[in-house]
Amino acid sequence: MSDQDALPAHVHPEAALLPWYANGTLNEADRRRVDQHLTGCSTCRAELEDLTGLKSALTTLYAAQPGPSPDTSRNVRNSVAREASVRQPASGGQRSRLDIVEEWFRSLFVPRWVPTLAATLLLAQIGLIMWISMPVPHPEQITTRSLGMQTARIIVAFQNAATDEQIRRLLQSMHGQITDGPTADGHYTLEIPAADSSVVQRNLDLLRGRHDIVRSADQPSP
Amino acid sequence: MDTTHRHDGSESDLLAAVAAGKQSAFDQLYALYEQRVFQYVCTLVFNPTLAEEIVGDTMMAIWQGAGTFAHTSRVSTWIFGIARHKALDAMRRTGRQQREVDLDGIAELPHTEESPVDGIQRKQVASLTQRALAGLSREHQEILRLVFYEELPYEEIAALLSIPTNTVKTRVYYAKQHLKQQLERLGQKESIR
Repeated sequence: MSDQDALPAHVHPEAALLPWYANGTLNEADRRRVDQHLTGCSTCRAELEDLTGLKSALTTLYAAQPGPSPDTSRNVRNSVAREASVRQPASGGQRSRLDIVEEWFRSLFVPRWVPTLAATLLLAQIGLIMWISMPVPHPEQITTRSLGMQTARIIVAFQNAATDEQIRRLLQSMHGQITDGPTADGHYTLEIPAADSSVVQRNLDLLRGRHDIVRSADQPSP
Repeated sequence: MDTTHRHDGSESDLLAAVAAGKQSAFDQLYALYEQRVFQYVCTLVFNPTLAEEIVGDTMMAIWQGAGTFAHTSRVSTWIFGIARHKALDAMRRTGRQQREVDLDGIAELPHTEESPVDGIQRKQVASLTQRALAGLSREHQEILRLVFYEELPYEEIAALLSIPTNTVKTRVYYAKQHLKQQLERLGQKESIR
């Protein structure tokens, strides 16, 4: 990226706000500042006229550009329809909440639930006994996988310029793997083997030290 | 000031309806964003087939995650944020293939009541602008679209691109300067022909 961080000396600071004056999204304070400046600056008035013309040309151009093929729309709508049908109740009818509550209440008086409840209570008891007899885990952000390996989760965001190869190598160095993400703000859930909190901290330090690859790394909030 | 796209209360309502599982609301939101997300992603990945995949992934993420919208930005910023991260993911997978934008694919512009001469002139201007844009860096194309077409405030662009607000302002300034230079260069070439 070859952006310069500063405007040329001859450019008024208010000129940097003109694109947003033209698109109508400046906050009140900025807008007033630009308004005041424009009354006395013909250069910036000309620049604003230029930007307004540019906005109009780009809007016409972009609005005329094509969208994706009809297949994309069809695939997405089909997937959404499939998921929607799973979300809705199997009976498919338009049931009110009152109907659902009534149905649940009535089901309490159907004796079929008695054996189910007994079996559930028995399983819960067995589970409770097993849980009590297990060794107490370390009270940090450690979770246990089904494989029996202790792991910890770290929420991480990568630099835009980081390559797949760089990220893969970094994750391999700590035997970690991405298990979720990205979120809308670009965060991933990273799972790493971690016997105790010192390992988690070491890996956090390692991630935070790689500014070229990692933008942020934190433990998930409890 | 006229806006290119409607903002934001109606879109927030639509997103809330999507979160409640209403397919009709999703269809409306999809219609509003399909083309815009596709074009935006194309400025990042330069590959229409990959861009279509990313549009599909983005739209599904909206359907599944509408309830997570935190109302700290415009709906459009949230959607472009998802699309951008999916595009960056895809670029990492495919190794950041860069290529020149296909100049032959200049779109047909919508028909309006105008004389044939005006129509030809308008197409020439659009064609010239598109070719000038193609000569810009990916970052400059992206920011010009976000400011002038998507009409996002500079604070939200800064959050979307993970850069300081001052960099947003200078990047737009230099993007516009480069576009102007490209237009002048192409204009000279056209007049020589």
